Amino acid sequence: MENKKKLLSLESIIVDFDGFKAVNDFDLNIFDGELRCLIGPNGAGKTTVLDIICGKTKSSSGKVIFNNESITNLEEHLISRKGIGRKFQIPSVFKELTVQENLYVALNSDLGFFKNVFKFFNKSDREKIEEIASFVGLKDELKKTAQFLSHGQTQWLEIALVVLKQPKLILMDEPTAGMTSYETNQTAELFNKIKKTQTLIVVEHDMGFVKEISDIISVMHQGKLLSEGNASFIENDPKVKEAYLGKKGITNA
Amino acid sequence: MNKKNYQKDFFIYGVACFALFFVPLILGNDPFYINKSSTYICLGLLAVSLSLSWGYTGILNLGNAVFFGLGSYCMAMSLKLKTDAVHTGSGGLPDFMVWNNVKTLPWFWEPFHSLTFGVFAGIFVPVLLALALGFSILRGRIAGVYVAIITLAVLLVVYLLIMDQQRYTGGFNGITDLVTLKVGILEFDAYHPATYYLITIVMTIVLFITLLITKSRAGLIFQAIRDDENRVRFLGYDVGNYKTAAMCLSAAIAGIAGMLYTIVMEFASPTFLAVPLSLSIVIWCAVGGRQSLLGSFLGAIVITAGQGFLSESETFLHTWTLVMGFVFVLSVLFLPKGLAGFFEKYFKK
Repeated sequence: MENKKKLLSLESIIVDFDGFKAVNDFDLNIFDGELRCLIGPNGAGKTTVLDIICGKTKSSSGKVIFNNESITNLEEHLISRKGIGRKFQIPSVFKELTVQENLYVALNSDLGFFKNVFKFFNKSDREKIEEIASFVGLKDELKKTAQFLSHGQTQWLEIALVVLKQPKLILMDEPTAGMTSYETNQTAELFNKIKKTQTLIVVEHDMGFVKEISDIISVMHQGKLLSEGNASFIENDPKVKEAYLGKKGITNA
Repeated sequence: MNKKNYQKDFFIYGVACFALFFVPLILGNDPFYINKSSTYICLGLLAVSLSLSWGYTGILNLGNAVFFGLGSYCMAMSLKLKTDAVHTGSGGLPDFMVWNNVKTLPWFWEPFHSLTFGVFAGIFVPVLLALALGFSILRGRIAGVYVAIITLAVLLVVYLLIMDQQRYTGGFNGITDLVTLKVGILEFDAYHPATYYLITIVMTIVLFITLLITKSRAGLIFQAIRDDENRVRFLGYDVGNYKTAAMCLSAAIAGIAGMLYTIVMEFASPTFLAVPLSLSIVIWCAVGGRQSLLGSFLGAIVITAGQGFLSESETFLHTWTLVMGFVFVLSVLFLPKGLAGFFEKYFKK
């Protein structure tokens, strides 16, 4: 990892929700091309960390450096334009639009109103949309209205929306929550494909899934970084065992 | 999204607009009904305006009539200044100003000597107000029910201002006794089919431009904002700008509808931007189907025409408001997407 470029770093981030420090003096370094999993018990501040990076929550102090420039507390759409994509825990797609239309909204580099006002769907858009749809396994659902997709498909659609923007860094919040084991496996495969071209931070509870996809795992506890390393290191770290995994270790968690 | 869908929608809209051109023939050029039909079409266009902001973008603007009223007043001011000197004070001063001891024409009335300016203002005054509202509330992340409350309050403020400034606005009476609109050799008498055609042509053009916008990528982004505003934001779009744009477009349409309304009503009145009308628009859209421009348009026509018919019939003379209320409750209960949703469901392919 040492010779790789540092893509994102959080420096002593503090998030203060009226006296409750959801994230307390937290540091994190993410290198170009890695897939980092962020785990920790409920209330450890994992989602808040993602919110800080993408601008949804403002930090009380500390710095977020992305690609050698500070993006601390910028507006969400500006952070997105710098190349950070966010997938939410509750699947957020455009429910009354078709899958195709959902993807068409995301497939756009001209973001201003006047550039879009008389712009229509064309052939090259169609090709790109079909390509991403088959990438996430939604090729047969293009005409379907998003609200009629299954839970797993909705998650994949949102992943597609995020991936379509080709961000340098993708933040995923519990992508497998509520999925069947079949869907989880499909998602793991999808992540291993995305990993080849993108840097990812994934917050996840499903330890089997984490072991399947991750390079390095960061463990959070009470707003702080508790431990960091690969799966077997984390598994044997007594601090982690105590705080989170229980005495039986990672496999049976 | 796909081409077939586009073509189908344009075809349906085309047929509907085309059919409207035959209404005067069916009515046998009866002046009263021609005038009535013209007013319904103006109100239909007003519903299209709310459909764009509420149905497409999710901005429930309860004060939409303010744009309509401002458009209406701009047209009325221009037409007022063209009335014969007999009906006005010295130097073409409007009659109500004379009665209120105003000696000279106020500065903001001056440019309305030009009808072109009046028409221009009828669009841009509402748009400027929408822009101000957009920048102060929509870009400030105020959403949902708060937008509804604030827009309603803005409507009331403008209404009270107009009522209060009787010297310059005609107050409670509005601006009455207007000259008929003349463009070149064409004269648009409110009871003549020519006016009906003028209104229908303008409405058709505006409706199709709006349809085109909703079918463009910007239109999809509007709908995406309605469905999940945050998702749109995290895709890099400046949601506040898009919402402001939607509100400005909506204001422009309402302004045009207001100007046309002045032509058929032959006056401008504070009731054009009062709360009852503004809330009626919401009902028209709900009954017609707010997510369809044509649905909202027809919803307005069905309800206003229904109101006209019932309130004039002897049987329902005292109960027609109850009947309308009942229709509204029924449509909310059984047609969540309005008439448009009903037709889409049963006539799809």
